[in-house]
Amino acid sequence: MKKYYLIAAGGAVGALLRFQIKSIPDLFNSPDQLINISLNILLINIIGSFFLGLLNTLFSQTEEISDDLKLGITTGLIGAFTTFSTFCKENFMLINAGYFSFFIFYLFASLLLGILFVYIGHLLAHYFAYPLLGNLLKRSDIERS
Amino acid sequence: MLEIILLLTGGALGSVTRYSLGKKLSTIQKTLPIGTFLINITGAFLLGLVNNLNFSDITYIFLAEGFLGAYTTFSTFMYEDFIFLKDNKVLSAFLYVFMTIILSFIFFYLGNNL
Repeated sequence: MKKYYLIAAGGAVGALLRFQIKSIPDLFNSPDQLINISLNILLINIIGSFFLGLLNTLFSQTEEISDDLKLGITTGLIGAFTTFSTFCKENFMLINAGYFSFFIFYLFASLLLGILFVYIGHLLAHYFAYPLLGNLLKRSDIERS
Repeated sequence: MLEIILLLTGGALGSVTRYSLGKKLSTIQKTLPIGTFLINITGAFLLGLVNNLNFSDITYIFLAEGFLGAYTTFSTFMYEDFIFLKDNKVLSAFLYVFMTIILSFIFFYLGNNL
């Protein structure tokens, strides 16, 4: 039961964070508001993909954090922070506005950068973050004993 | 203030729905990420519908930015595709992305034009 509360809490924060970033009017310096919002969503989805790649790899090798909390952070917070439905809508709005070349760029950039950043996050956790964290945990074990 | 409460509530409900439904669906089919696949397509359809139905701004924020935004997910979609690539299942990786994009665009359009 506890995991549902943690997923709900993570999801609530994730959705609020997404809306705040989506609503920043001048994150990208385009005079066109539609392009700005699309790029904000692109940034949100890429940041989320990076952190999911990083944390899924890190969490798969860590037993210090409970499974319920892991779900709250990955499925809840990051899952709700990124969005697929709004991404679909942005693509349609770009087509409707006649921005065909930007639509093609947007679609492919979202997918390719999304997978690339999952991979970068995964690599970072695999080769850097986990060995470092692993050493710290081992050291604290030694100090405790 | 109301906006924030609606986003928090919608986000909480959307992610719990995604988790519960995803868990149920993944027991049906284990080799394909059928949960995220169906969730993203139904979410695209429902957003098309919500977009079509001229709700007030505050209702739209609850349904679209809160609930459906959190119900669908881009990061898990990308992560699952990365796992296909990592396991050298290049064709599955391509088909998963291709089918998700094509079907969700079709269903968003249907919802938006119903």
